[in-house]
This record gives sequence, C-alpha cells and structure tokens, in this order.
Amino acid sequence: MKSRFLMLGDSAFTVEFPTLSGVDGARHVRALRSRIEDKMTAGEITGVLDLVSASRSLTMVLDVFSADFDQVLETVKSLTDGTSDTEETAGRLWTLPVCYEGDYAPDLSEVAENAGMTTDDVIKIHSDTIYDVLLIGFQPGFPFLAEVDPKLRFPRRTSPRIKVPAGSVAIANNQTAIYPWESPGGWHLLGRCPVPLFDANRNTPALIGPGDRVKFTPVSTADYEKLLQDFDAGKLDATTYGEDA
Amino acid sequence: MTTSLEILSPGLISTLQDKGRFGMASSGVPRAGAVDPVSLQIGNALVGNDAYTAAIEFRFMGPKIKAHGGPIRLGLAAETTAILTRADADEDDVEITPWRSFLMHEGDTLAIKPLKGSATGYLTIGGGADVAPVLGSISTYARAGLGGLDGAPLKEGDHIPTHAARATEIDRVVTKPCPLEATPIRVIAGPQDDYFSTDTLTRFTAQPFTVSKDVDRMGIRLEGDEINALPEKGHDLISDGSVPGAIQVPGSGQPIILFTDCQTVGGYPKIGGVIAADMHRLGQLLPGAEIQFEFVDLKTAQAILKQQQEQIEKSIASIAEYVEVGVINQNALYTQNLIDGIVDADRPDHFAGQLEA
Repeated sequence: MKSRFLMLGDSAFTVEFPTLSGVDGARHVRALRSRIEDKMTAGEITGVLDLVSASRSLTMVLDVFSADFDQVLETVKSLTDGTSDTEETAGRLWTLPVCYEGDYAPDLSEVAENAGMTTDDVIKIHSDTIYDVLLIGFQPGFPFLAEVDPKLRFPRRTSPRIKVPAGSVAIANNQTAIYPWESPGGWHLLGRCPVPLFDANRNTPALIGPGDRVKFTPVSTADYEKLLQDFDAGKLDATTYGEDA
Repeated sequence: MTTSLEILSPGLISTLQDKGRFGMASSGVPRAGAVDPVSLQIGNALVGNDAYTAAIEFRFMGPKIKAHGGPIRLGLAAETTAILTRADADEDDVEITPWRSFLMHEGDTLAIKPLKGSATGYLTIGGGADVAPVLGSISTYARAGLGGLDGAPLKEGDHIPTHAARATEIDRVVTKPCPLEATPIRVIAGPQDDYFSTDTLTRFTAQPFTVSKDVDRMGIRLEGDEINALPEKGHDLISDGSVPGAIQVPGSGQPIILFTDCQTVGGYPKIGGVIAADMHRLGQLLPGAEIQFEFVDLKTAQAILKQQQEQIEKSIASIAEYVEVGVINQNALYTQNLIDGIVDADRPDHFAGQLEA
C-alpha cells in the first residue's frame, strides 16, 4: 500500500495512504493503529503522547523530551507495509433516535427542495441508510459517518452558522454527523438527536468509535423532548442504544 | 482548615490550566493546557510545585481574588504587577512585582494589573488547586465542559479550593526570568507544504504577518499578503490530524495558527508546524503584533529545544529569597554573588531567611 510520511512540527508526523479514502481508508488506518499500539505495549515504540486517526491517515503525537523522533518514524514505516486485513473485532451497531421535525430540522425543507423531493423522502433516505463510522474528531465524541445517499449530497453551506445546537444531526457532501456540543458549523441540519455522545464519567467517554455503524430512527417532537429530559435527569443509559453486530 | 481562592472578578478570560489532556485525540478531545508552558513551569518552581501543576491562567487582563482560610502561597508568573491588600485595614497595600511569590492570609485580596506588552500570565498556587482532574487533566476545555471548575472558565463568585501551603517558606523571586526571543517563529514545513509553490513558500517566510484581533485558545488568525495554494491542489483536503502550532491556510489565504484548544482533525492544508520551543511565544502574542516565520529542519528544532531547556533551568536556578527594595540584606547579597547561577532550586533553605526583623 502506497504511504507518505508528513512532518507536523517537531512533535508529530502523519502517515497517509494517499490512494485510499472513506470506509476502506478508515479500516486501513485502524489496522495500522492496532499494529502500532501492539509495538507500544511491547515497549518497542516509546514517547507517544497521542494518536489521531483520520479516514486515510494516522498522526503520531510524540513527547519531544522523551521520544526518539527518527526511531519512532522508522518503526512506524516498517509497519505500514502490512495489509489492512488483520482480523478486526466487529464494531457495535448504534440505533439512535432523531427528531426530524420543526425547529429541530432547520435545513430539512431546503435540502428537500434542492434534492427535488419531499421532506418525508429525505427523512426516509437519511434514516434508511446504515452508516460506517470513519473517525471521531473535530469535537469530543463527534462521529464522521459515511456514506450519505448520492441524492442527498450537497456541499457545505456558503455561510456557516455561528451556533449549531448540541445534538444537531447534519449532512455535508457524502458524510453525515451529530454535533455533540454547540459550536459553529457549516453542515445542513436535518434533525436533533437526544443521546449524549460524550461523557467524561463513562469508562469509554466517546459513545461511538471508529469501526462502529450508526442508523437513525425518526421520533416525534414529544418523544425527543421526553428522551432529552430523561437523559438530563440521568434516567437513561446511552450505551443501551448500541448492540454487538 | 480548608483554604480557597475566591474569584472577585475573573478579568478577561481566566482558566485553570496544566500541561493539557493527552491520549484522547481519537475521541475528538483537544489537548487544551497552558498557552505558555514556560511561564507555568517557572511560576510553579517559585512556589515549590511540580513543573506543570495547574495554575490560574489569565489572558490580557488579570483577575481579582480573595483568600479564604489562608495562608496561601502564590506565585505571580507574568510581566505585570499586582496589588495585595491586607485584610487588616491598618496595613499598607503591597505592590507585588513580577516573577515573585508571596503569601495571602485570610481575607487578603489581590488585584492583578492589566498585562502590557504580553498576553498571558499565571498565578501559581503553592500545593496546587484541590480540583479533581478530568480525563487526566485539570485543564479547562470550556466547549465540552471538561476540567477546571465545572468545566467552565473562572467566573465571579467561584471558589478554587487549594491544598495547604507550606506557609513557613520565605518569599522568593526569579532573578533571571526567561527572556522572550525576538527571532522569527520557527516552523517545520508540512504536512501539506506540497500544496504551495516554491515561490509561495519563500514568500511565507519573507513577509511579515499581523496578528488579528481573533486570538483565542483555539487559534490565532493572521493577516498579510495572501498565501494561496496551487490551483490544482486547492484549499480543501481529506481531513487529517491537527496539533497545536499547525499553521492552516484556508481559502481566504490568511493563515491561522491552530492553538491549544484546536480541533483534532482539520480539512485545510497546513503549510507548517511551529516548533515545540516556540509554542510558548504564541501564548504571548497580542493582537496587532507583527510576526515572521522561518523554516527550520528537525535537527535545528531539537537543538533549539535543548537550549531552551537550559534557559529554563537557569531561570529556575536563579530563584532566590525576595529582598524588599530598600531593605539591606547583606547575607543574601553576599550569598547570591558567590554562588550565582548554581543555586539548587530544590533546596530553598539554601538561603536562610534574613529578612525577619
């Protein structure tokens, strides 16, 4: 597999598979990461502060005071030749409720209009697809999901919103995502999901992980608001929305 | 007795910060942490703490605080002074000069004067803040409510619980603070330097940039002649990993230096990454400042880092008993002259307290 090594300051470098993208790329990155983590466990790679998985690249963040940059680079280079088809434990399948109604779906009509279909069609297409989790990034717990049906692919909004509400379910190009936190954002907002995607008090704070899959179930405004309340009150457990695939 | 620091006024933006949160990038968790880790280290040495113990980081305008259940030992690691007002109305106000430690007693208040010519300072706390780390760090990352006090920047009425201070220690001062270098900001080219022509790369280091008013913990927006990617490459790429110090160039051609709270992945080409030894200088950049970049290679970056470490060690070794101006302290002067530069910072008792009347 063709790979490139890119410098990111003096404390990090990125391994990129330039010919890969999407689900295949993400799987290849996971395989490389697992080989690197094995070497870290064995003490053959030391001084790593963090690893950042993206959809076709992996960034190694090193401790400038303790890591031997060149040595880590050489070791990682020797690991990139491996195939991506190491046995991978199947990820979890998440079925998440989404309210595609009213103020919770500010861009739904516009998307329907641009796609030349009814809002019900958009909801059906968006919620009928099972998405692969490419990576978690941008914000704590934020999942990048692919692939959106070709009929619903539109570039990002020309002027990003200053405030995208937490829980917003959005699309842009071939990806869909859920914003766990309020933030600026340029994606088209189709609905709202009440399930908290990140909780520092959980053993694994990010609910969803790379390699998992996600499916959305439409719920009414009343159901959404009830779920949100129950989550806020600590009556519900987000992890119950996932099942072993 | 429990001790705490009450925030009477938070200043412009004050947060608790330590070294930052590592190991969670693949869950989308930014690093956060001190924007000037050099000042944090020296400030912590002043009060006898470990190098990266969490401290109050204040930017542009410092906070006003009040001590409860003191004494609490604090260190002022900043290019500014502060006024210490004693609870006892009969006592005069004390001007706290930069880079020194001092004690606050029950009811004392401290008002930090606005920073001039620098952007960030630290109030280090002897013994540290008694705050539970979240995901391995006390650093505040407000966007996701992590760390600090309830995940938020400090606000009026907050009480920061503190561990007991070693109140018997003498006041100390850094006699040789680390100077901020005036060289260009050193950068390693990449990861997407191939998105730019050789001419553009040359221009990137030849021209000055002005720091815009958009300066925060997420990023530092620069203004200057446009830096454009090659037309066949464009300014959009499949997102890859970002770290603080990476300089991304969006379609506007105006670079943004990603900073401590930056997102973990990004889709704009990154022309270069600021070297570790220059990161703390980013924490002191003020809007309107003019900066220039210089490309260096990894070996040079590592050599600069080593020099900087020696500089920090010298600063820490220069920490000595604080002698109030106008008070002659023969013994301290004599001792400092004799052993200047080789003081063992771990042994503050090296200097016997001579100030007591």
